Amino acid sequence: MELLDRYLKAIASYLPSAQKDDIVRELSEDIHAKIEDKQAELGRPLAEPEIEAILKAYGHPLLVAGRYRQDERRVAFGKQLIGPLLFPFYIKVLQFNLGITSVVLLFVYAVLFAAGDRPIHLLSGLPMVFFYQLLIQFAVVTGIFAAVDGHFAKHPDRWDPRKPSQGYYPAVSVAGEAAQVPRMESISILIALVVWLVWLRVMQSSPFLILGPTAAYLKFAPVWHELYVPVVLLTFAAMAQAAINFVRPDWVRLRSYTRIGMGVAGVVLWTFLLKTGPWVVSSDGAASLEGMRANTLRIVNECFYYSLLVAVIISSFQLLRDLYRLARGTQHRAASRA
Amino acid sequence: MPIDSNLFDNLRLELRRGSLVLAVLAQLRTEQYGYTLRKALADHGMAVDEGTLYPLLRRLESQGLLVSEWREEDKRNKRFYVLSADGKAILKQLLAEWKTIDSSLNGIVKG
Repeated sequence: MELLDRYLKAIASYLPSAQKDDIVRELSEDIHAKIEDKQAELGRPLAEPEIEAILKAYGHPLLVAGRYRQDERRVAFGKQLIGPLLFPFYIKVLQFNLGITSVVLLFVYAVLFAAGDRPIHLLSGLPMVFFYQLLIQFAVVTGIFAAVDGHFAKHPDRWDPRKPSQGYYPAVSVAGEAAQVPRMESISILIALVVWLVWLRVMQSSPFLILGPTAAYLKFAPVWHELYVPVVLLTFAAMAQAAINFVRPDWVRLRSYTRIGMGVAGVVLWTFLLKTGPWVVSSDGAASLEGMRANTLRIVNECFYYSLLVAVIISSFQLLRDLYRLARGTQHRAASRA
Repeated sequence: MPIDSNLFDNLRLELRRGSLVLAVLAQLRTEQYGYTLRKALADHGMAVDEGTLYPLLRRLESQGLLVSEWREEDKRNKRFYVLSADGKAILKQLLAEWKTIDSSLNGIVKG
């Protein structure tokens, strides 16, 4: 009963740890009883598609687990955007993103403080920077979850019992060659990329969102502007893949090849950036910066150097992993044909 | 304005939700496990899916209206539920309330 075990495991992953063993044990008993009833009715053991049908009727693991949560909170602006089922996950993602944003901002401000900037000057710019970051994070996360929730409500049966961890949470679903690219994944990617393009544009015109109060005397080096067009073109390519996979979810290899292409482009871009420092320069030419400001410029560029180095390492690792998965998928297909 | 096609379903669901608690409590005057309870309810015309029933049983137990225990039957471990002392008292009160509502509604509907 590997199919049932995977299904119960997927349900358990969405349940609070204090209750999950007990709930899963009871659900397991119920499903076994259903299977036994059906077997008694047919007078033979059930075939895998028949067990799949029972699990499908039982519901998507997320839906089943969600009913055990007694949290009725939701997000609604007139119309419900995110219902009680997804709300706990929405809050978790929002908290995670805001936590990361806070850590990054605190880091930037700690650097400025270490460089000798006046605390009163630092604190005056903080609310504005923090407000814009919150607004962007909130819009992105809410938009994606609202789309997932809408799809969930419309098509609760559009999932594959053989892959119970996939379907509604593409971001945390099992990677690799699936039989189909879930449409929800394509929609989520499209939304995320549109928001990314808007964010990119906003950051270009309002660098203080990243640089904070140092934007008064620092600016991004011209290399970032040179990369704007290639990055936008790559984003369009990723959007085209998501749009095509939305119409043709069975074109799984298109996603695999696009990932490889994006991976190569990512490694090239990060390596190019790493070699072209400094990444932040003085607004009026390096010579005009002295004392605390020169110190800030040096620390910010050091931070960029190490961040880009990490980005090169991570993107190279991801590229190798995607290549390995593609090769493994090709071997599997060749073996199954033979 | 055209009537939303889901309107009836939603109202029906609301109507049944309150009645379901009463039906479950009444059915659990005798000990049963989830699967047989669901079958018994369906046999009485109160079909309920497992996704609704099991969380409801858990909630009623956490409210102290049910007690449960894991026990082996037919070589399988099953969780048996039965009304607690508080559950019996609440059921009595709810049934009295139900009868009042029923007679009031009958009066209203008949005009």
